[in-house]
This record gives sequence, C-alpha cells and structure tokens, in this order.
Amino acid sequence: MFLVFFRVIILYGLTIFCLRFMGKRQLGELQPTEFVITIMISNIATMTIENTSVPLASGLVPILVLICLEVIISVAAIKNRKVRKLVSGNPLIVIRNGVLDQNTLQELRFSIDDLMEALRGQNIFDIRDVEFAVVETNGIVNIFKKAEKQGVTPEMLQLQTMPCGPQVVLVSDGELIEDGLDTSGMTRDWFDRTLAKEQRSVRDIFIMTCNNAGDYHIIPKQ
Amino acid sequence: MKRFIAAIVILSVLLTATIIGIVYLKHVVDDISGIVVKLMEAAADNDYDKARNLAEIVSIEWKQREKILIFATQNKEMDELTFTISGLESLVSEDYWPDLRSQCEKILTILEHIWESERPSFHNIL
Repeated sequence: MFLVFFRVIILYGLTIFCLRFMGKRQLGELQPTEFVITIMISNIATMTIENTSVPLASGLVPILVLICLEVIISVAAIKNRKVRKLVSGNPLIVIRNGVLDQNTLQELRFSIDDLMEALRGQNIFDIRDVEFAVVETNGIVNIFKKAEKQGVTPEMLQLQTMPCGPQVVLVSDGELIEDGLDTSGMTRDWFDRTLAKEQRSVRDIFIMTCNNAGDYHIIPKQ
Repeated sequence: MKRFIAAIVILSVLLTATIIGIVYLKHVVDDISGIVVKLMEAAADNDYDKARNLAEIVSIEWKQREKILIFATQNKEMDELTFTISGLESLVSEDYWPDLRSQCEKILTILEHIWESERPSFHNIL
C-alpha cells in the first residue's frame, strides 16, 4: 500500500506535467490524436499504479514517449498540411445553403438525429435557416446562419458603441488579485478609491469584477 | 518550438537510456550465466572448493547488478532469481549436487527468459 501511495504521487505529477507539456490545446476540445493519447496515458498510469510488480519505469517511459510523439506530431501538423490532414482529417460541410448533404452525412456516419441535436444546441430548429454547417475535425458542428436569420447587430443599425473588455475578477473570496488589475487596465489607486466609495474592505467582498471601462460589480460576502 | 525541441530531447534521452538498459541487461545475463555454467561444471567434477567460490561470486555479482536491473525488469522474475541464487551457497555446503544442478538450470532458464522477453526483436514487439 505504501508503494502505491508514492507511485500515485509520482504518476500524478507526471500526468500533470504531461498535460501542461502538451499545452492548452489538450484542455479544450480533443483532436483524434489527443483523444487517443489521453486514453492511453490514463490506462498506462492506472496499470502502473495498480501493479506494483511492474517497474515504475515501465509506466513512465511509455507516457513520456506518447507525450513527446504527440508534441512532435502536433508541430508537424502545424507546419505541414498533409500531416494535418492525415492525423486530424478535414472539416466537412453537411449543410450548404439550407440543403442537407446526405452523402457527407453518410460518410461521417452522422445520423440526422445527431445533426438535429447539434443544431438545436445552437438554437436552430430548422435546417433551412442554416447557410453552412461544418463538422469540425473534433466532431463539433459549427453553424453559420443565413443572413436573414442572423441577429441584429449595432453595426447593422449604425449605432455607436463604446469599446469595453470582458469583466475581470479583481477580488476573489476577500483576496485582491493583482493580475486582474493589470488585465482590466485599472490602477491600485482606482481600486482603493472605489472600495472607499462603496464603503467596503477587500475582506468583506466575495467577488468583484471590472472591465477596462471601469464598470464594476461587487458581490459582498454573506 | 521550445516544446518541440524538449520533446526531441526527451525522446532521445529515453531512447539512449533504453539502449543502454538493453546492453547492460545482455552483459548481466552473459556474465551471470557464465558463472552459473562454471558452477555446474565444478559441481559435475565434484570440485567443492571451486563450486563454493563460484556460488559466492554469483551471489555477490547478482546483488550488485540487481539494484540496477530492478528499474527496468519485471520484479517477479527478479525476485525469483534472487531467491534461487541466494540458495546456491547452502546447496553447495550441504553437498546437494543434484539440487544444485537443477537450481543452476533454473537460473539459466530465467535469465534466458528475461533476455528473450526484453530483447528488441520483431517477434517481441509483436
């Protein structure tokens, strides 16, 4: 049991390192190669933890080799379109100008139910509303609505808009996050003045967010 | 690009380590097998002193090499080998020659099996 304890710690550390080494790509939607690597690593790590008669190196070496191969292949795929096509495939258009491409759908082995579910997930209930629907290499269906079905934007109405960035967390559970101030472009002086105006201290705030236009929102601790 | 270079370096280090491991394993198998064969010959000649000396040597040699081999070889086989080798000296001192011969053959078989299972061959890869 003692051995298992330390093996878990070592393999946990290695797996975290591997995920970080693969980069942020791995943490989002998985490409086919990334999916394979993830399953294989989890299996190898589990077997090595469980079976103490197998040397730890028998688990560490294959995990590291898999990660290195994944990194090398992903770089090769970025540099070379043929490699990219080989390992990830091509995105395919399944709806074009409101018309379903049944051959592509069969080629993908996508049922009409799968497609309709993906459309409904994007708040589309009629295939005729879709200009293009593309099945990406990771299996996600991305949709471009017909022009007449798209929402009205300020640009269409020729309205003036003020640029404002996303809300950034400045205080989390009573703790000031300095990086948040940098990201939102606000100063410490502004922050202190805002808290003084609101008559609050940092410790009393559960969450405080702000964008680069100075629009903030405070949720006090209960 | 840093990750790409790091991946190439890690792969190269691992490949080198595995090649060194295989070469080391081959040396260990050859050396220990050689001593065990000599031990069997001494036992066949009823040369007690030589047999006792060789049993001691094989035990010492194995203890030293086992510490490194344990990192890369199945622990069960290593344990069995350690257990068998540790019994050789007592078999020699008790004059159990037939048992000694069979234990030596067992050691040779296990060593051969370890080498055959680790050897980088097409058969093993498949």
